[in-house]
Amino acid sequence: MDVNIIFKIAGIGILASVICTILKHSGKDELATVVTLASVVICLLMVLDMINELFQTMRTLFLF
Amino acid sequence: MEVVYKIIGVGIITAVSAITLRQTKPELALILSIVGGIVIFLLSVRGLSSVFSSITSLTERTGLDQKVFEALLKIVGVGYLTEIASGVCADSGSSSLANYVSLGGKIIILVLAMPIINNLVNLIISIL
Repeated sequence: MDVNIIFKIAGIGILASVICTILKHSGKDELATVVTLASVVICLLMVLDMINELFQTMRTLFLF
Repeated sequence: MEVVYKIIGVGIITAVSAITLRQTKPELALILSIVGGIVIFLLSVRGLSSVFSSITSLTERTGLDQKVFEALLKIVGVGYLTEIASGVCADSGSSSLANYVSLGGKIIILVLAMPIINNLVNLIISIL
């Protein structure tokens, strides 16, 4: 579970940077920023799952 | 024992992929370091539950009331969480934010520690 989420986020990051450079070269700069924002939002959603799991573990373990 | 290898592996992988991401997408590199930190913390905390159960059985024998030990657990938990959060803020470059988070953690720990201090003072007074 743990390692592939790191590879997933790295993959999204690399994909987003490749798409951004392609879009920048073809002149569509605003689309590049939209793609960047989309990748950040997707990664944030994944981080939210991890943070939720972290808080659940803390709640059960440290009697919060 | 293999948890150590997992932690080392995840740490190295996260560091390398965060560096590659930092050139083109620094915000994703920060998100990646957050995820890596949380994964490492979850791996290392998994073994703690047995430690805590043995400590609770120990404190029962000494007759110390359970409330003090639960407050102690909360303090440790708050310490870990604020440590993670201030590390993330320091990673993102805003070190003042990291200081604010750790300051907040210290204040919360002080608030949590007050009942223990009262307990201790009552104990000492009852002895004298």
